[in-house]
Amino acid sequence: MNNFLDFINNDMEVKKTLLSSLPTKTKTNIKKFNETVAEFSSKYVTYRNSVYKYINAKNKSLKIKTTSKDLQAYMDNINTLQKIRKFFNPYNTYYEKMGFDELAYRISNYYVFNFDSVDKIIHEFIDKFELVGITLTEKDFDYTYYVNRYMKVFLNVRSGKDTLENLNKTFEEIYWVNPDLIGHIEINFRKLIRKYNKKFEDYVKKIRKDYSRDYYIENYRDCIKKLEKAYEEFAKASKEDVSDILTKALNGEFDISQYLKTNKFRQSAYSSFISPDISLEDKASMEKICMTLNKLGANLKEYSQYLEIVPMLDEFRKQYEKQASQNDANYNEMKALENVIRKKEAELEKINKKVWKKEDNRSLKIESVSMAKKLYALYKKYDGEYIKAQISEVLNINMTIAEVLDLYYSFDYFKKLTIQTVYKVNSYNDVIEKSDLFDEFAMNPTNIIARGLSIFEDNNIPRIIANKYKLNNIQINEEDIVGDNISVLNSKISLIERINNIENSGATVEQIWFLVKSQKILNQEGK
Amino acid sequence: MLNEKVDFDLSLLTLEDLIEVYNKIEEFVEFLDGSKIVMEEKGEKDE
Repeated sequence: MNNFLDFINNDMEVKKTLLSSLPTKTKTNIKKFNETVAEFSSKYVTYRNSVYKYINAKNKSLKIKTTSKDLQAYMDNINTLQKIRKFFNPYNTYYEKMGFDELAYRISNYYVFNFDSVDKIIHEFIDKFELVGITLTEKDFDYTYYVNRYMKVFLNVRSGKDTLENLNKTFEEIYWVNPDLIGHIEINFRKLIRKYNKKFEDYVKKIRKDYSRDYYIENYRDCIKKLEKAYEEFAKASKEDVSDILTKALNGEFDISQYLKTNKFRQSAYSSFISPDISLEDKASMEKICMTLNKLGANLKEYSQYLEIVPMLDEFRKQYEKQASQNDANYNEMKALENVIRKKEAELEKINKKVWKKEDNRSLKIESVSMAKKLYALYKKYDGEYIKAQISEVLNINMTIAEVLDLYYSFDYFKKLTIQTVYKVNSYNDVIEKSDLFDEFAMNPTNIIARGLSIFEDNNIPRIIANKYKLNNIQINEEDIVGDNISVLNSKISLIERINNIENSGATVEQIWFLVKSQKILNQEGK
Repeated sequence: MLNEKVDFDLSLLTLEDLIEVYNKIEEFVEFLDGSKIVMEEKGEKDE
C-alpha cells in the first residue's frame, strides 16, 4: 500500500464485506453486529479527527493573504465626471440638464405612483426653482382654479402651515370635479419653466463655469476624455488578483474544480483559444494571450450589454431611417405648436381672471378645465415634435450607434417612453431598471463596438469580433458569440486569465482548490 | 502521523487526495451510522 488513501479504500471494502457476512437473525447476532459497527466507527471517527486536524493546519499554512480594494475613490471620480458631463452635454438644453424632463416623465405617469409619490415629484419641481433663486407662491399656480386651490394648500404644507391630512382632503374634493388635476399641475410647471428659462440657462452656465474652474474642463470633449481615463483607471484598480479569485471561488461564483489540469473544461478552454504551437509554459506568450483575451472579454461584455438594448435601436431605425436619408432638420411643427400653446394659454388666463372675480361661476370653471385639458394634449404633442426636432438636428444616414445612445441618454423622457413601448413594461420600477441598464451602457465612454458602427447598416457584430481576434491568433468563430455560447466563452476567458493570475502570483490552482474544499469541510465541522 | 495503530504520513498525500481521504472517511462513518440495527422490543428473539 502506497499511502493512506489506498489503505482506507482497501480497508473500507474489507470492512463492508465483513459486515455483510455477519449474521443478524438473533438478538445476540445483532448485538455482535452493532458492536463491530461501533468498533469500526470509533476507529474511523478517530481517523476523521486526525485528518480534519491535518486539513485545518494545512489550510492555515496555505492561506493567501486577502487584500481589500478601495474602489470608492475611483467610483466617486467617475460619478463626479458623469455629473459634469450632464452640464456640458451638447445634445440637450437647460430643460434636460436641470432634470425637468425626468420629472415630467414621472408626473405624466402619476397613475402608476401612489399619492405620496406625486407630492414628492411636486416638491422636486419646486426645489429646482429654488435652486435658481425662484420662490414659487400660490400666485404662480394659476393654470386653473383647482390647480391654484390645491397648490395653495400644498405650499402651506411645505412651509409647515397646514397638514398633509388637509392636503389629502383637498385632493379628494377636487378630484371628483377635476380628475385631470395632476396633469394640469404638470403643465402649470411647464409654463413656469418657460417663463423663467433665462434663470435656468444662467444657472447651467454658472455650474459649467464652476466645473471648468474646479476640474479644468472646458467642453464636452474634455469631459469625455477625463471619463475615459477614469474608467480605465477603475478597470485597472478593480482587476482581479489572486485574493479576489479565492474569494469568488469560496463564494461559489465559479467552480474551481474546472480549473484543475485534469478537468475537461479547462482542457477545452485552452484548446479553444490557443494554438497547439504555443507552449503553455511560455510565460511571455501566455501573458500576451491573456492581454488579448482581456480585450475580447471587454468586447463580449459590451456586446452582451448591446444585445439588451437592441429593441431600442430597432425602434429608432424604424422611426427615423426614412427621414435620415432626407436629411432635413424640421422645427416647423414644434414652433407652430409652441405658438398655439402660448395663444391658448393667454386665452385661458383671460377665462381664469373671470373665475377669480366670480368664484361661484361653475360654468367658467368648467370652461377653464376644458381648455387646460386641451392644452395638456397640446403639450404632449409638442413633446413628440420637440424630440423629433432634436433628433433631426443630428440625424444622418451615417449616424453611429454611439450617437443614438447619446440621444436616448440626453433625453430622459424620450428614452423612458421608448422603453415603455419596446419592452412593453407597465411598472415604473421596470422602466427604471431598464433605463439604468441602458445608462450603464450608454454612459461608458470606453465602448468600442458602438462607437464605430452605423445604426442604419446591417452589422454582423459576432463576425466582426471573431475576425478581429483571429488576426490575434485567437481561435474563435462567430457561432461562439451567439446566445448561450457567449457565457461559455466568457467562462473560458476567465478561466485562462485567472489561471495565469494565480500562477503569476506564486500560488497554484491546486492550492486555491484545496483552500476552497478544505474551507467547506472546516465550515461544516464548525457548525 | 495519524495514530498509533495506522502509521501513515498524511503529508505524503497530494492536496486532492487529502480532501478525498476526508470525504471517503466521512462517507464511511455515515454508512456505519446507518448500518446499526435497532432492536425492537418484541422483535427478534434469541433462539
